Amino acid sequence: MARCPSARLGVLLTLTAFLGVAALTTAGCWSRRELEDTAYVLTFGVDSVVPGKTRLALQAIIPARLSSGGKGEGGGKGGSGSGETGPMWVATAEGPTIFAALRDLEKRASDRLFLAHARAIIFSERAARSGINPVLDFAYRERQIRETADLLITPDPLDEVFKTVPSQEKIPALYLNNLLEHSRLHGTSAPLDLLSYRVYTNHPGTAVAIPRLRIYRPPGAKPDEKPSEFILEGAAILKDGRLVGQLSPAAVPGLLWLTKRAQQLPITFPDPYRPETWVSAEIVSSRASRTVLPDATNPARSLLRLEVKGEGNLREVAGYEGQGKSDLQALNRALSREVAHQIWRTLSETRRHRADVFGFAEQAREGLSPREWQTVARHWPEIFAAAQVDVRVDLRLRRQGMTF
Amino acid sequence: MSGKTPRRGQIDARQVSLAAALLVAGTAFLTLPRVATAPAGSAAWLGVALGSLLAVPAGWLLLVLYQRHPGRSLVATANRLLGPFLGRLLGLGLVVWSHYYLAILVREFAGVFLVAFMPETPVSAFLAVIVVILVYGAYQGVEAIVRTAQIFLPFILVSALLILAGLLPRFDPGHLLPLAGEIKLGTALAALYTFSVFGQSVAVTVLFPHLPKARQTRPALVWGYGLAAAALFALTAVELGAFSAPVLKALAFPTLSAARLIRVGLFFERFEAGFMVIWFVLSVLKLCLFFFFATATLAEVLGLPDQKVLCLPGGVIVAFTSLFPENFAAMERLVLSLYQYGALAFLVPAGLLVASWRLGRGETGPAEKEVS
Repeated sequence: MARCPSARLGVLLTLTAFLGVAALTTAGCWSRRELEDTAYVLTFGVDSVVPGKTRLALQAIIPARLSSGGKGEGGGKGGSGSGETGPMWVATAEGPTIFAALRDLEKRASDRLFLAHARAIIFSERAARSGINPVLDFAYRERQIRETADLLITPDPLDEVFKTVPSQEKIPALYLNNLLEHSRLHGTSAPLDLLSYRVYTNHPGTAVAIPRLRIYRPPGAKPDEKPSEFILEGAAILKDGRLVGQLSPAAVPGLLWLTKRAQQLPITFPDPYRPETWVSAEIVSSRASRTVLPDATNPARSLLRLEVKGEGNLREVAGYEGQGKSDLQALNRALSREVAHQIWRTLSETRRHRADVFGFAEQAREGLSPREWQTVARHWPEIFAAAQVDVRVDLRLRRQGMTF
Repeated sequence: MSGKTPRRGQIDARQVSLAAALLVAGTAFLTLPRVATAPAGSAAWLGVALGSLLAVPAGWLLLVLYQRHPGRSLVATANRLLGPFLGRLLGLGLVVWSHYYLAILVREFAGVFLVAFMPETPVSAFLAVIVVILVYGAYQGVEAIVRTAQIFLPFILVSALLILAGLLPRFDPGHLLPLAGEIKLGTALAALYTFSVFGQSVAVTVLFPHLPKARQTRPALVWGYGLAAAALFALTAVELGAFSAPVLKALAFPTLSAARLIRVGLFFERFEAGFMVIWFVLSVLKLCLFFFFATATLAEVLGLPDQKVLCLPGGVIVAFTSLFPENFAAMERLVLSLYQYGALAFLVPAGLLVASWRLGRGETGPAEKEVS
């Protein structure tokens, strides 16, 4: 049956409209970003913060250089604080705010800076001492920056960190990212991302511990030898966004126990039968329960209790001479003792700074009425520093590897 | 007059329940967790639960009114109870109410894209795309809208489950404590805001006459309210657990921020672009339903045979009025006004029900017959 002309016209108009809309919408969009015109910032940081002057440093990858560039020569080609490291572009800029500094950098950049792939935000200790909260507003507000970006503190100048060309990876930021992921898996540091930082700093009375990153120089290295490795070592303690102290590398396992993040944690402790030799174990599963009983009127009567239970595998007994069941039980006790010692060490280091980096304050808040919490919150640093501590650890070694 | 008699049996009870859920949660899921947390702090989840409970008697009003006047829309019921003048006046009030909502919600939704994804694109481009879809959806009619919603339902559910599951690793139940919240008045405010979100479900009454039987409205509304309440409660609780109250109330679009956190292993992240596609469909369908309600109500007021001729002018008005907020802060104030006063919408069915009882003009009969 033949269609009437008006119906045909309707179909024709609809088709034309559809094709017109498709042509307009599939060709691209206003906010498009061409690959060859984009510099992907993989990590950035703040070197110094003084009122009205924030020094920003960043490391960006230039995709066009990635295919032709090798690992690069490193070092500081270019002037006014910018340098070239293979496919990477390292640059610094100053401005009253991070955004102003970024815009200043873009005056010198041939490509548009794209921050969505930034895996880490690094602060120098100098900047952290001045306070990082004011500059983090940029990170919270900027849609491109992910809340999962890790925070790091470094004692080294930031542009030196960014110009360090790793020997193990073509892209330095990927090397850094891998270090962080491995440390998450193996419990060798306590990574903290942007969202966690934001959450913890909003808890009254809570301080934060951010991993310390430094350029690794092997013992005996010549002064002119270019470093090619980083190491995550210890943690920086921040209260109200300002650096107030450090946790030694030995205190990091305790931090993981106290914040219930101890997974695949390696522990080395003296052999109970041969004190001059060492035993290594790896924790495979653990659970910790914490009790906080604050007393604002007499902080010394407050109580912080941590109970840890878990299982691990025996990985090495130095000077092995045959192992029996009774030995394993003795090892369990020694392992538990060592972990208790780790926890005490960490608590002692943080209590010295009156910095509750474990979230005990938040736990206290959860158990109190808002009015009670108001009183406790006012005295929390004293309560944390003076509270009695009860640490109970019960760890068992389950597997001994391929030999008895 | 009562406009063109809707084609009964066009849609079924499941589709109406989906429409009710969309009308309630279709855009609120993006901002309710923040808006409820601002006054209630850690007890926002409790406020959302209480607000959802408050919606039960309000929904009952809609059901009882329709069962007393089966086959009639709100305007048709008002015409019968109050006379043509007051009936039309009430209808015009509903049209203004729905256009106010539409203008703000369309602008808010365009803002999500503008702030989070495409900041360089003019807001008018987003508004134009959304309004074109609204006009097309409302022109095609209620059946097309709810059937499209049905097609996308599995994707919507999967996206909601993915968000909830993706946030669990960061979920800290301590952030939901203490149970009573920081300020008890704040919990009541959060409940009011949630109740106001349910106020939008008054628009679902435009679908009731399309059902084959009046008694099907009850399961439809119960399921619709239940689905919306469960989604809003779960999102608020999980986002509160993941972000904590102080952070959650500072996030412009907390559910979008939640989607940005989802990560599978070391290789699969940045899910939010996929979510946005689903959320776009979800929100546009809700807006289409609302726009259909606005145009169909105006058609009844004007005595037009159907809403089709009003779709284009209605769309132009929505696009134009949605440009009024000068900036994001002004828009947020207007969004808050929806949360503060949205529950007043229930006064319309409540007033009509009182009039119906007082005047003794309930009716039953033909509407209960099966549609062959």
